[in-house]
Amino acid sequence: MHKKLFRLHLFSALLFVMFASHATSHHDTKALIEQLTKRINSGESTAENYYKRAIEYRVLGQLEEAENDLKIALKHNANFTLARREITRILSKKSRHKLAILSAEQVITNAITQREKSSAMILLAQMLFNAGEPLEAIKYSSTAFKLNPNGKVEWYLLHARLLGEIKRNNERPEILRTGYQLTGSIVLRNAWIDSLLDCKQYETALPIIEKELISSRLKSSWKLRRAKAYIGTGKINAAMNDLRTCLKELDQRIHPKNPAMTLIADRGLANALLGNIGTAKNDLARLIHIGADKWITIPLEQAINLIEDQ
Amino acid sequence: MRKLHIIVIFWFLSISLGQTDDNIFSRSPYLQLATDSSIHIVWRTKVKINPIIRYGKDVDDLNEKIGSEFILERRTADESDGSINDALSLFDAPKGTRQFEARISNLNSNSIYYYSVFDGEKRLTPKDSSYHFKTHPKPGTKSPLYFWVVGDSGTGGENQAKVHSAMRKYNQFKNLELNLYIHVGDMAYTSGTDGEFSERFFKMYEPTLRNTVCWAAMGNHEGKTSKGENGIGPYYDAYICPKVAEAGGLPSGKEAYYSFDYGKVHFIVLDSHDLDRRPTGAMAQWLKADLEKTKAEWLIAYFHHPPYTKGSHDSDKEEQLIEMREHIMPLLESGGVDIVFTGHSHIYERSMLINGAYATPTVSEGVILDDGDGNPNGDGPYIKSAGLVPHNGTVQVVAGHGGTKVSRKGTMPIMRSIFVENGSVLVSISDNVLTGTMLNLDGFIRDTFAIKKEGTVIHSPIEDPWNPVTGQKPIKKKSISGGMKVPPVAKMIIGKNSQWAYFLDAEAPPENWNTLAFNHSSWKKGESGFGFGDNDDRTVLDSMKNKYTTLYLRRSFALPEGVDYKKIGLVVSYDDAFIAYINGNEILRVGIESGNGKKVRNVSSHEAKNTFEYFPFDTNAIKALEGGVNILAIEGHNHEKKSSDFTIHPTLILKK
Repeated sequence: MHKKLFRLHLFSALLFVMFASHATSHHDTKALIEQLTKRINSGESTAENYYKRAIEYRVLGQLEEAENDLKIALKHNANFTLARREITRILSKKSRHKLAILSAEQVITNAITQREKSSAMILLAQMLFNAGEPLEAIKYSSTAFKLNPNGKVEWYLLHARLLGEIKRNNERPEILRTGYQLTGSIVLRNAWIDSLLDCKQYETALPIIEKELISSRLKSSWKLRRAKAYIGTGKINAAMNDLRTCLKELDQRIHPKNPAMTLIADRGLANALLGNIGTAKNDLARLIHIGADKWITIPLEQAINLIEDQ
Repeated sequence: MRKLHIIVIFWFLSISLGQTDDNIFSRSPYLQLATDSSIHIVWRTKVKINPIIRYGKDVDDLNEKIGSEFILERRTADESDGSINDALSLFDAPKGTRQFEARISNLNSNSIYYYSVFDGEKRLTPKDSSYHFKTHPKPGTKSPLYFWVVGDSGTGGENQAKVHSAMRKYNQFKNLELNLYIHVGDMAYTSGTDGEFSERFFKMYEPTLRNTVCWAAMGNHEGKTSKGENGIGPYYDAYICPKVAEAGGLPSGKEAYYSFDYGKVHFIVLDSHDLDRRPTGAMAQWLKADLEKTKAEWLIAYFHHPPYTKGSHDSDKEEQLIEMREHIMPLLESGGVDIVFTGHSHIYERSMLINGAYATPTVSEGVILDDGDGNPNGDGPYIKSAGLVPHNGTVQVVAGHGGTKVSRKGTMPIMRSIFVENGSVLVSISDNVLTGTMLNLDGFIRDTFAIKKEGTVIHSPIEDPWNPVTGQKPIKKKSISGGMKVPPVAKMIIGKNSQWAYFLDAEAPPENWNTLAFNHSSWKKGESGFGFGDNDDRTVLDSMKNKYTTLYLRRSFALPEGVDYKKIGLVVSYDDAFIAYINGNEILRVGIESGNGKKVRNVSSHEAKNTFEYFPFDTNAIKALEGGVNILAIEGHNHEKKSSDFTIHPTLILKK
């Protein structure tokens, strides 16, 4: 009896070791899919295995297969939040926005703690925004902040963007400043400065911009910001100087064949403000061609339209 | 036997419970977040203690002390008694665990301090000079730097231990001491649980971690239990990473990505696993701002998913890897990055000096700035301009060989050095030279490269860079439109209607298909000529019509003794074009402007008309020949898929 028990323990221990080494040795994505498929086909058709396989399919860009697996995982376990979140993002990526919204609503229903609820609200806000419903989206991002006032860097960025979408630009500086104070994120600080410039609050923005110009190695972003402030305050010559030096630096930073998206946007904006509309339009066309987000193209588009209207 | 059973079960239980040893520490003291004036010492116990750190510049006189009022205590959620902040509770540590995080400040820069952990008056760590730390030099000051790079190590197995031991022995032999340790992720297989961290990271590296800060980047395996978005999980319990630029750089607001300075070196650490990698994402925005700010002279970036690899993963096919290459690399190179360390792919791969390789799939054309081996004792170091200059060249190092099983899928064309074995990388920076060394698990140096910065260097991409498949610089052949009249033949080395191995498929064959080393036993066999239409082919390939444009052929041959190489030549009947290789080297290109295989451009139209043309071997073709067995490989191309005919009928002759 004891011998049998010991053998059983030994067998379990060895199985564990074998399983552990087996699991750690398979990191090739395709091999992992094959391994999970074998497990699923040999009776281990658990929600967890379908979820794991879906993640690997997603890594390979096989979104159909990933979605199918996630659906099965959710059939096995409707409260499987990780799977629900994953399928929400995949549906949105495939532009099936209504389904993505329904799925995100389900994530909220399944959430238990305040932390989970607030995070789910942000997911829904993002899905609504992707679906072109910023007015609805901002209700949920606002609720998320009520549930979790500290928020996350990405939450503040989304909320500020939503405010911009629904033309409540004057509220952006406050939310971004709060986010910066609470998280310390430089991205929020810079977004706050941009929002100040958009709201014509040049006096607050300029001293920070000047400081950054002194302490930065690469200055084109800050020259561009200062040029906007100068244009806003009627210092046109100073603005033009900044824009020219900004372009000079960008010429060195931008790879001639494969430029970074955000740097093309900076160059386009500098050219638009300088009145080089043709060059600015080329950059805008390039950004659209390489699939740049609206958040990158809209400021450039607006600047081009503004200069053309003048 | 029964004893063995007990040992195995006991061991099994201890693993599953995540216990590391029998002393008071469930995680021995380790260092975190060092700056030029501060450092953190972290440890765990299984019982309540009165934590005190004593430290000082003399190992025999630890004359400074910080007590519990300056030491953060963290516990598991179920252990909270209201005296600690619940938000800081440990994610999945064993019940009863207490984690202590002592921040020591007001230290001198670039200075060594010894320390010991106490429970009240009771000393818990031995009086041992290995319990020490060294503060960073002041940012911007000149100071040599020596650090260790490890990736994909966390198996807890023998190879991981050997890699660690090889590094320690090498340093001992060379009398070197690490200033820091960077881990590019996957340090606790399989799911980055608290127990796996304790066993497969902290216990494994304990003698190194007690005096060297590990600055970590999150891997996908840690990502199974820890989330970059909220900074919660065993990974975030283990590490104290800068959130608000405590160690230099700009504040990211989260521990998932951050930067830090060491003298004139700026390190950037990214989360390539579970955060938005797009240019509009917070991480990319932070990266752009951080790059604009730093005034360092060296820029080193690291993260888990490699932008370039053909090891156990393929950077041309996988989401995170493609996005890091397409979105993050343009930013890093526009900021003047010098070297990028990654893991994930279980292999060692080290690139040539590259710039602008953002396309998918990765090609070497137009992106290699220096195709030398970078070895100071070989082709010489890669030379770059002094300081940080945009797009002046980057070296990519995939160091995913820190302990787990290694493997290889193919050859990434930008790589200069590839090893499918466990090991790690040691890097030193002194003044204007960075030197990297790949040390394998047995302590042998397998690769050495260097980057030297001086003056102003303007690079242009190399048109025909060194090829990692053939191990040579390609012999560039100009395309010709046709051959000559066939001369009188002394001997047919490969005759008409000879048997060849051939490959016809929608996919291209492996990239080394034309080399001697390639095994073509799985290919079909047939007699030349090959093709369809015109009734002039011995092996008829009707399946090619409207479907494929390329046929690949291989045949081995040996040269007769005492042969005059200048009399060798190809005699070919072809419709429409072809490229010929000897032992992997291109020797002849007829009717094809550029490219190879599926990537050929501008294929001319040419009718075979049942005639053969003669192409004598030139100097480069002769150089490609070997004394014994050789491989003649030919890719035959049709002008277009819908073409009504195709023929390739190669022979090899010795003229009179």
